[in-house]
Amino acid sequence: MHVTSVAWHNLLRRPARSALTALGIATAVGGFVAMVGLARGVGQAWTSHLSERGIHVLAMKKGTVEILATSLDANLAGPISAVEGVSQVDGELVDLVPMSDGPTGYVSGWRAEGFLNLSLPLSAGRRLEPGQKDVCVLGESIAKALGKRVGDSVRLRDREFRVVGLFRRESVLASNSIIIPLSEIQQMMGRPGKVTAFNLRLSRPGDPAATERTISRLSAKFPELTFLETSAVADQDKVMRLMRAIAWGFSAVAVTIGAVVMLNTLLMAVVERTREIGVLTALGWSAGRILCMIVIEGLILSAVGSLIGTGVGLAGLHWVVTSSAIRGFLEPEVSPRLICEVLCAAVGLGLAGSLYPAWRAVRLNVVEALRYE
Amino acid sequence: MGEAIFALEHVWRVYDRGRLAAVADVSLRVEAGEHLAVRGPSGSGKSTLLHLSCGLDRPTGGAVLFEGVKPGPRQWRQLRARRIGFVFQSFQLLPTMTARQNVEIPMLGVASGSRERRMKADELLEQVGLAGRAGHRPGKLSGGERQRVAIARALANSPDLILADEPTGNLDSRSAAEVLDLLDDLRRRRGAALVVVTHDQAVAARAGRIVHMLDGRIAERATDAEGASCT
Repeated sequence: MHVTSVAWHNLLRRPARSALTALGIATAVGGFVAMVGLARGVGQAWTSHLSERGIHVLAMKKGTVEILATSLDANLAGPISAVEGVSQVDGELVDLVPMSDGPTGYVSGWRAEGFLNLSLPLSAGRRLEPGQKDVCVLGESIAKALGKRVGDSVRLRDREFRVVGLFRRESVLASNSIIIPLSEIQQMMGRPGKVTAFNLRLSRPGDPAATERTISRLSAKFPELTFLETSAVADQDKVMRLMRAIAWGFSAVAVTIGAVVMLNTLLMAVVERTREIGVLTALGWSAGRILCMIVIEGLILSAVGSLIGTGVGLAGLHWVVTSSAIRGFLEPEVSPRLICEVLCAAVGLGLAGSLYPAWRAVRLNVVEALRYE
Repeated sequence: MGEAIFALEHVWRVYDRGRLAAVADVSLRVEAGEHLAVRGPSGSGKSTLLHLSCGLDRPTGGAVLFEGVKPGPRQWRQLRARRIGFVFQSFQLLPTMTARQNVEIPMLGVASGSRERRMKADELLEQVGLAGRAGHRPGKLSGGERQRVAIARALANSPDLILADEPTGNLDSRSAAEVLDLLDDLRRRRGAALVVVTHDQAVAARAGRIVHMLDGRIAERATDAEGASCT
């Protein structure tokens, strides 16, 4: 038997209360996993979506709060591609379009002759071709969700688009996107001659110094634009930053509530066991061992709660990601970093909720404790 | 005169800024292997005397010595862990633990290895006649059996001094007699000093020496078990 066994037996003395406390912690940890995972999922979806296309730098309007709401002159593609270090430039116009079948579609307008279209990995049919109208290419996931194949048609804003091809991408966002000709989406959105952003490929993408120099040249020549490496897009996007801040805020509140629940439970337990703590002192237990016992009780509660909470949080995240309303816009990522953060939160919860009760326990007057009824 | 295991020298314990004296100018020596009973009515200061004797409480005047040395709080804790055993009136066993686990509690941090602790706990339970009840929780034991477990727990670290606070206070007369026989037998076999605090004449009569307390003072001269005065 060890101090841990004593702590475990103490928790079993009030099984319902211990279970409810663990449940409270599970809720806090589950909320943490789901909220932070959700916020990161959006960023991850964007980053992998851009990287998979082989894009190195994204050009957007400076001061952009939400990338989808911005417009740039499509004719800037030429001057941008002329800058030293830039290999290829392709503009696209993006929008979220409610579909008649239910889900919201992530629709991209591409030039048929642009590198985005030419490098699209097709799994069926063909790419967009110059001069075509009312055609689209679907990602495999959205095609499967809509039950569409090559030759079928999809309805976007009261217009029918014939599916001419399907493509396969690993990224959730890409696989759930619909590609239509740039001119079509410009017309649909009432933004002729405009694009949302420019996708840039660089001549020497593996050289960080060369990338930095190219971005400096681009920034100097186009002061009204922001040029971001694809890996930094998710971090720099103000909506995503806001989303992350909200997620962390909610998580912090949830974790604090979890700590208070545990504090309350352990404080009650210490008061109930006042006499017993006096007995342990009389039997020669040191203040350190008594403190250790109560902190271990807190850590056991937080560990059990965290295990349940992580499972519930991941299940919740999975449910959110697969629900039709936002399916395709998130890429859940259960990274070692997130697990480490959950573990740290659990240890923090255990310590935060148990240190004060433990301190109260070791400060008990032993003689009064032995007389406590 | 033999070697004193502990001694109180003009010990005072006052409360309420000196207005209430729980123990007043008490001097007492307890020798190794001695059986002493401290008798007196409720509120006479018996329990306070017991708490002072093992460092759970600190005197406001005078000195408490253990083997001639005045220990500090840390030393008292070590003495309670290794050389002093405590038996309480209401047993004070942890309800969710088995008898064996309860006996192991004082050994945590003292005896190395859980196997060793377990073996010693079983051995002690056998000595108190509870070999077959080691796996039972206190709720499944009678009052007498619980106190036997508490005695085994007090003996866990082979103490030189056993302090018992009304050890038979919650027991029927038959169980009380069994517990007292057991305590006396273990004291003889182990050579430990035994101090029993009681208000019961029959319990006190088993001791080799009795001191009577009243209003925090030793009211009468010490007597032997037959009531004769002794020094």
